[in-house]
Amino acid sequence: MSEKITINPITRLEGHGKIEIFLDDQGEVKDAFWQVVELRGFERFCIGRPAEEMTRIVPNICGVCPSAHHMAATKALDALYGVEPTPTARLIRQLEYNAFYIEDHYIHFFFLAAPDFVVGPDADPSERNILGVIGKVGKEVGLKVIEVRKRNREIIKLIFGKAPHPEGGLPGGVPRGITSEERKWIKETADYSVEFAQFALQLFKDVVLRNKKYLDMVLSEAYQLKTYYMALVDEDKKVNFYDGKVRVIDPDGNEYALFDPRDYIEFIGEWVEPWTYIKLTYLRKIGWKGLVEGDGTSLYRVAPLARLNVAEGMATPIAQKEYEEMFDTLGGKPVHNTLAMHWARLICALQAAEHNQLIASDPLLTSKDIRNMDLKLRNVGVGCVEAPRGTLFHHYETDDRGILTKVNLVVATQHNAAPICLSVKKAAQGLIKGPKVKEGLLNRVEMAFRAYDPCLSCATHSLPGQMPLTLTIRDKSGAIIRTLKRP
Amino acid sequence: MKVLVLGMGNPILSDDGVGLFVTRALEGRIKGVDVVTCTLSGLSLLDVIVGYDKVFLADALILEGRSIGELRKLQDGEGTLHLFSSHGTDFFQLLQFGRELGLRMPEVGGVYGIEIGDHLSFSEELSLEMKEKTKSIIDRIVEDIKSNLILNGTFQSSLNMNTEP
Repeated sequence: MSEKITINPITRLEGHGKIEIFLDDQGEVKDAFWQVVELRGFERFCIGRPAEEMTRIVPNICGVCPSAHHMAATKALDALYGVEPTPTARLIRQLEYNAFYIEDHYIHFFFLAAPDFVVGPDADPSERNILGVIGKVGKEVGLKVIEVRKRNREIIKLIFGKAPHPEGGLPGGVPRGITSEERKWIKETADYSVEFAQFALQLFKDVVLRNKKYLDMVLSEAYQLKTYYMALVDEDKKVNFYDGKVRVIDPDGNEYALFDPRDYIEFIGEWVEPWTYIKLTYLRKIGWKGLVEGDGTSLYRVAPLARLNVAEGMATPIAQKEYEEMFDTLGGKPVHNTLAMHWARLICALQAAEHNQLIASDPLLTSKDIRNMDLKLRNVGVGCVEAPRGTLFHHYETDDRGILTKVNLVVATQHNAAPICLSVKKAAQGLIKGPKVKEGLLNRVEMAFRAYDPCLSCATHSLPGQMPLTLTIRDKSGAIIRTLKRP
Repeated sequence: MKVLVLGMGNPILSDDGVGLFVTRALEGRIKGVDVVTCTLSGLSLLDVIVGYDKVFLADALILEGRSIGELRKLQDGEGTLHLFSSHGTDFFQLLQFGRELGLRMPEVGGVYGIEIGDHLSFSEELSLEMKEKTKSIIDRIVEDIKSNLILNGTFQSSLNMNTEP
């Protein structure tokens, strides 16, 4: 008879999720699933509203990535109204978006990831948190984290009114420009952020890479998953958070696809499984192959590691050096080690800070040409950004009055949902031997999940009344071995 | 003493945002306190609360066997929907984190949980059932905050100031 272990709730993550691990008669892990149990119904709520309302509404989808949704919505409005933002507006948007990246990535690293590495994966859960981290590395580090976050939030507030829930994204532009006085402190913030980024990377190297036990864990089979990868790249195929084409590489690192975000439906399929509310995504042209990795899979991953795997380099010089060091250390591209996501995240934060240094020095930044008003309603608009957790698509359609008739969001956690299940299963299979499982081992299983930094709140935008009511577990032959009723 | 009344919740998830609605209605009803609403949780709350001496919170709550609109003042260690659904840290850990770093963090004067039931849906309106109860909820929270501040001496000066000619 199989035995079930439940980790619920998944600590240190927004929203509510549940991991279930099934053991066989021998106590070996037979299967593992990540369930999301949160109700959403966002698209239906939006239909019938003027499209311009989306930039006000979408930051409320969740408390984790409001700026990403806000920017994707703003870009979807650009496309919907057939308008290109002015060069200055584009710079200001990127300035804000980089500031958001910096804030977001450090919250994840110091509050979610660092407890596992700095305090230790097997430490008492009451100590495995940010308080434990500053207990180990000192209050000065905590103060630096607060400072870098505070300074970058000032940029978000300056441009979009309030942080972290920005409002005011406009098709073709931004709501305000930047003055020469503001440029000075923006430059100082960017400089401080680059310095902090290098400090954070050094901390990661000292704590994780120089600890053989941790490095072995990063490199272990339990935390590997061979999938395709997807991310935005610029025209030189370098990492870009704000704009570009979507590039997909196969599990061996070869380019599989390079497409305009507006064509996402041709490449991304959505698959519904009865055991989760999230629509699982896969590469449509390959077809749904189920929860499998390696040759024959149609699953792909997004998020920081995917960005670095997909791109041919970073867009800024210091980040490029770190990128090269990461791939040299981990054995070349692509890297399939899920825990390397933390390293990649810090490199992305460094690029964001370096890019803001460049923006702060750009003469165009203080131009007053911040809005292109040449709007022509085209009834369909797709906006795409690299959210911190991966590629994010907003697809809006309207009638001739600009009233929304269709809204479709494909969020990072959807792209990663099926791989997360596989990562959890592999970690469980590699780590759990027998039914007597200590808390530290369960935490190590959670670490596989946590590396993705999934955003559960915005991932499950299913309509009310369409939620699955049961969880079904099948064996390899497809036979149902267990059905769980939703409470 | 700087006092903050903070309303929390999601403004597009109907009753989930009752803390926002109730707190907005407190504005002007208690002299000498700042009234703020926010849709934040976790570390993001730091900017809102740092520098205050005392904070009162109003937020949605889901408990089994309670009816919609039931008001409950929570005990130490208990939390409402948005105090624990945080990205990286919960509210009480955040207070401790701030104190560890030497920041001026408030003591918690009270956490008011308002039961919303387990059916959430997207809407910018409260449910009819909740709307009927908000006046009573607001009055009781105002009374409780005033009592707390008077009891602790912090509100006395404000009251006296308001009654002097």
